Amino acid sequence: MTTVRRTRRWRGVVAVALFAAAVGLLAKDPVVLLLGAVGAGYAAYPWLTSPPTVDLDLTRTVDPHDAEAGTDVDVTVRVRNTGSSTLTDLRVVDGVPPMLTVSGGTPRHAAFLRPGATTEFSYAVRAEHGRHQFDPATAIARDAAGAHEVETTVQTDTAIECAATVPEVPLRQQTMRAGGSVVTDEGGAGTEFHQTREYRSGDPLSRIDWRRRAKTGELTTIEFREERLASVVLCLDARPSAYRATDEDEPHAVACGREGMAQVLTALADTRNPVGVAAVGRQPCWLPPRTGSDHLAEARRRMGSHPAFSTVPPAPDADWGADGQLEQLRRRLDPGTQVVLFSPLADEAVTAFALELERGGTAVTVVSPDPTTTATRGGRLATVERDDRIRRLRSAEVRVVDWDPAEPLGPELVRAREGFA
Amino acid sequence: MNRAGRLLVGGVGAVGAAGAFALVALPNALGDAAAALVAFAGNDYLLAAGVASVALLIVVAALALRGADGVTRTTPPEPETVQNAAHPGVEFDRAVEDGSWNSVGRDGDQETVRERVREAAVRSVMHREGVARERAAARVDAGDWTDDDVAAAFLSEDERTSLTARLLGPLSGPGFRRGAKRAADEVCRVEGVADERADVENGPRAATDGGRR
Repeated sequence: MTTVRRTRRWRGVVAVALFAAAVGLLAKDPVVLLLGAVGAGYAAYPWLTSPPTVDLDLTRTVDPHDAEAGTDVDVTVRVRNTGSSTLTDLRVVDGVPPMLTVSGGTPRHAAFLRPGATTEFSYAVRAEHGRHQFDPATAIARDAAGAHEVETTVQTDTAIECAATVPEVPLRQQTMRAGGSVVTDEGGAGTEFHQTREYRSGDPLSRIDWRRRAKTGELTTIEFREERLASVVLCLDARPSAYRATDEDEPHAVACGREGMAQVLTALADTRNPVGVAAVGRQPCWLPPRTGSDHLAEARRRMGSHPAFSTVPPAPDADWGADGQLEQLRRRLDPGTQVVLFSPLADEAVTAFALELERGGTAVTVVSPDPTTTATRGGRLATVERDDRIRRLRSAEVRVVDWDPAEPLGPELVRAREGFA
Repeated sequence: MNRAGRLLVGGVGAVGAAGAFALVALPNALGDAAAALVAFAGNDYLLAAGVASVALLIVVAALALRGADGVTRTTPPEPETVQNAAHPGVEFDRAVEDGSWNSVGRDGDQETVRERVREAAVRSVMHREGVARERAAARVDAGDWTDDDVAAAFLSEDERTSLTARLLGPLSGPGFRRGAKRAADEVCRVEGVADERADVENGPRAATDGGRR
């Protein structure tokens, strides 16, 4: 999004010119009167310049790409002016991943860029567990007079991966008819043993239990758990109530949820399962489940730049009416689609949403970054409330992954599949 | 100054400038208007001083406006550290922990705080005793869910609707805060969520004695 604004930097110059003229008149001094003409020249100056056209190309390299938690990652950003205007005053602020902190250098840079010219700057961030996607960089360009300002964002898909591998996403057994990777409780083709049954005409020879045939003479067929595709929607809760953090030095639950969602998206992209992304927050975001590299790139682009995925906490009086978005999302879900919801479960609305989906036949998995604290009385009360929500969801068969964001998400997901989380 | 104001001032200035040019370029076209103007003012210095005074007034107004509004420029993001957000339960802390006399002065605020703690207490009873919501609510109303009299009275529906409570409610900020704190503490205690600062002060034994952390 690009915004052009007048800075009003030169406001008051006319007043200075008038002041000089007035003093000149009162003092009957032609030299001082002439100073007013100089002021008038300055007043006209900003009218001679126009807002610059900002067309930038940004490339970002990180080293190492798969760092260990707690180590520094060097980030190098190159910005190229691909437009036809000379950018006399360009300032770039890189979009550092919201869960990471800068440990060296600065992600801010200022430059003078002719058309086709490139500028470069570097800084370092401290790696944390997870897949950390960079936000779009913010570019601010002003004309030579400083009278106009153009603010825009420049995006490129870069991420730091730190123990981000999610070995397996514990999808629920709500599947499509097509063969895939989700193990079901139905017998058929697959790799995991399910049961043996009496042979029926037409059963393939490869599935006959020849050992039993040799021992007992009985003709039986081995059935495996059928593996099918699952249509999955990853949904981020980014309503005002979800922007909560344990303390001011820790990333808030929306940032954690977004990073967790990025990891799960990457893990699911390695399967053939159709995946969609959705978010409720500043604006509703909806990308229906599909497969393919183009779709994956679009999903990542939306997670990086759509306002609904913004990690900037809202103003205290923000009221986006986001609870209506939950109902809108519920209507969009096709039967047979399962939902993985990333939410801190900070209020009743999202809990009711998950329960309603589950009751309506949509399998729900909640990945819940825990932002609670016991350092204050209100924090302890909120902890009790969240524990109760998790308990109610689990008793309604909703799978809940209670995730401490300081720990990697992958093992938590595996534990959830095994029923311990 | 809004757009209409700027246009008005600009229009007046343009008309004045046009008149001045006309006087200089075509001195005979307007007859003796200039001489009449000087005569009206008294002398040419007083006329110039009048114009200068108007200019000074505009200077003061323009500088005051600039001082009030400043320069319109965007504030760049601050990506160096993680973005701050409040902790869960901050609304309760602001309403109850704030020492100011009117922090929970309005009936609506008090009712919101009370309903929140009461809901947590009812759900706690439902969970611990395995009873239905109606039964749990009745136990909270009766006050026999806890041994703490202050907490029990704070959440009791009978107590809330008594005439004395309704009359004194708006004036009883400190008493309300005390009741809310005791009730919240009691709900947290029975649910095993302990104050981490108390854990540190009392040692590791306290942290494992029913405490969550």
